[in-house]
Amino acid sequence: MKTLHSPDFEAGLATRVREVCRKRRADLREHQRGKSLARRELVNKGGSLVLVTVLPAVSMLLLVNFTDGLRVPLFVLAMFGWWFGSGFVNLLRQRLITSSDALALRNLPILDSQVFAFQWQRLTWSQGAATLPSLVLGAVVVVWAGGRMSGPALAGAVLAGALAWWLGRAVGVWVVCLGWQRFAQWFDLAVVGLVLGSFMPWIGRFLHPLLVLLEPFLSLVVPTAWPGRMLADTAQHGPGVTLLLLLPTAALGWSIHAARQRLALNLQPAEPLFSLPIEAFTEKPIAQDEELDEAAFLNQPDAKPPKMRAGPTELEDYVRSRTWLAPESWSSRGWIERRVDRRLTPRERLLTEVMMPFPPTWSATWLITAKAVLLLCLGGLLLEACRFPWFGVAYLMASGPLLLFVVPLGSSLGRACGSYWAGGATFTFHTGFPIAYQEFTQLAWKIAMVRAVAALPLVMTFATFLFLKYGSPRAAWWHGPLTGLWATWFFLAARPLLSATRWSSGTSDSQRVSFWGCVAWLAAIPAFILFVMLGVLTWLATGIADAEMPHWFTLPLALAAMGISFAFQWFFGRLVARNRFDYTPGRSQSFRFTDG
Amino acid sequence: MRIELRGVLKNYGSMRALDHVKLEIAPGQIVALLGANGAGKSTLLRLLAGIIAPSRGDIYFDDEPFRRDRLDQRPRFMFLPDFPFLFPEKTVLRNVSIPLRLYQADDHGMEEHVLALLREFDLLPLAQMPVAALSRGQAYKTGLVALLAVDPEVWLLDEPFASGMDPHGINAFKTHARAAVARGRTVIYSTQILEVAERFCDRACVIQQGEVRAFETIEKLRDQAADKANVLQGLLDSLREAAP
Repeated sequence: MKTLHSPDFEAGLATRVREVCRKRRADLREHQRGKSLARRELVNKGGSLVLVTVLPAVSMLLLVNFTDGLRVPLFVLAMFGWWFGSGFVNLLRQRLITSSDALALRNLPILDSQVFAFQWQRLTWSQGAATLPSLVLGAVVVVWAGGRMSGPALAGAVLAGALAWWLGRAVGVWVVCLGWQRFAQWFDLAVVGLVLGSFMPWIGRFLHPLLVLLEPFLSLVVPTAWPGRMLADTAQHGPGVTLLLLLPTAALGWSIHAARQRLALNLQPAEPLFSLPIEAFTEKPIAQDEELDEAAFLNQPDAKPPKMRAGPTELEDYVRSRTWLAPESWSSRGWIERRVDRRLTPRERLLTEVMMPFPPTWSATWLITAKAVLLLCLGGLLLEACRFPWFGVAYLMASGPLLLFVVPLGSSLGRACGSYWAGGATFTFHTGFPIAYQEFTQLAWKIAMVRAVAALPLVMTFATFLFLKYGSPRAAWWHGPLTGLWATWFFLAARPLLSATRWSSGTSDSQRVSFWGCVAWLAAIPAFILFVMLGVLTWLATGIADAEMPHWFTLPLALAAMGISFAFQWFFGRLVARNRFDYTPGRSQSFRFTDG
Repeated sequence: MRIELRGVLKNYGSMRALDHVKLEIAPGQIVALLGANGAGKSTLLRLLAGIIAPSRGDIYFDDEPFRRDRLDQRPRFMFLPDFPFLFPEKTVLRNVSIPLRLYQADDHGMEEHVLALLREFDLLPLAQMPVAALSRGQAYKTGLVALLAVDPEVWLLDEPFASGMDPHGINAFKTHARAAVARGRTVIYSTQILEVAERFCDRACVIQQGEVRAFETIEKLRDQAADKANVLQGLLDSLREAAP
């Protein structure tokens, strides 16, 4: 393959540039600035590398118990091998489609296949350098900790680590070729959850026996686990039937070339944002109830939006009708949306249009979650009746959608603080409009209040169900709903803290080291710690844990936790009001590309 | 609205983007920000738009310190970067409607004004099209129509003449800007096209390495220039030569 870089030419050019810049102080200053930026970029990359390699290793150490033998630790390692493979493909997609490299390469007279080959090779080297050693080292550590260290075992461990990395890439590429990206995304999320969750001792205690139980089956199904399984079985029982796994290992490893070719055809660079083909926007027929709803709101039964390709007279009439100046109707106007809508001022309703990337679907999500929770609880009961030992997993799974979709954990106003590419720089979206921090936080609070009230019946019912199953026999029945009430309150009380954090994500406070950024961090860390501590104390004060009546100080504690949350929101608001931050979440292009 | 920058300094880490800038911009004029790439033009515009905050010094709007979060100050200006803030999935009309309502400029009679602007900028046939389906120039015109309809006291535009607009659109913009200035509005824009700036500004603000080197009317600059035909080009060249 032709290389897109010419090291000799680039080295010569760099020397010549240096010589020329030395002649003029202003140029030399610029040149040195570029070099220091490039050095900083290198340090950042080094930091990411450490994170990618060290975090999985630490979490693995927390998850595994080396007295289990070799198989379980090697299986955990294999999961990371798969995760790295998935990461490889995600990075490849990003580099081919959305990165600054992609934009630049698209404008050069280079074939797409050459660009693909270039990015593939580049990523293989860079990602291989970051992840391959950690997998190999991990396998060696497992063998050493398992007391099986010998020459052949060491060689086997090195080979198993390398093969896990290779198979991880092959699986990642095939997942995209077969169109299972959604599955890959969930897998990535699950692994991140596992990494974070494994730091909590009780999750580790729960996961460890689950791993021991499922490993014999999963290590045959997960391709990245095959080398580890072969190594473990051979080290413990000598060469045996497990070595047959060499066949699918070789086949999958070999198939990466075919998968790569298919992927190269699939990953054609997309057109930039502007000038998408009009066919990409299919005109959605307006539902009858939606039409009536909007017409009733506007009190103008005739004012129906014209089609995309309407004639000039129709468009002129429509502009004159002022219908387009009315609030955009929410396509799903379920019971939660209607209640939120009723509580919003016209200005707040307009802000939802700016801040929400899509019209809300809270009611529909609530209903789907309720059905999922019901099914999972029934499934759990059925498994319990069949004496399946891990029926509790179904209840654990049910709590996930409740937390993600029903309890107001997110503000729903994410677009406001998202980044917007405006030519040479990336700005926070809300900076384009006259929108204030306090408007954002107030709106987020109002929405969260309604959603929390809507979540209460579902959360309280689920909590009661769990309480009846697992609660102390001494406890009264109402401790169940009280648990649900506490959980909903906790997430609602966290809203001001989270709103401030969301706004902060659109500022430079975490991008560049600055005095006011440090002040914000120094306030945020104790605020979060205090809030969680007070939240836990509130839980203890409810008396649920020791099956007693709630103590009198439950309410003051709950109010104090909320006070902390609102206090941080207010404090961050003071910093915002005094113009302490830049609203440039990403570094400008001119900064990114100045590499001396 | 009178704008004043008092010793404004902006650092990005160790790099100084603006160095103790002192400026006073009276209402009712067109100001062109000129300078080499990386001189600090866009930084100055972003400071005025509240997107970035000064590291030192302050900006005053009518003698009141500018705070981005103050809702009485923020609606007095509108910033149009070279890729304007738009909702790509929403129609052209919606993209005009949202700023109009946010700036509380959606009074009765506005619809006729918007209709005239859409016609003038050739956007009427595209009024119900999603912005993501438009070309870059058409998308820029959408942002510009919103700005013209809102008609804030201060117009801040980054590179309006390199925005992909067609000559008709550029001429229409110039006409509207001149009319707005006659009504007391202030138009501040950055550009690299000196021929345009020479004819289309009341004052030129030349920035070099973060410092304001000249802030004069074109007439005064012409009086001082040796080459009367290329006033700004000559000025920028002489500053470049004299750079330390």
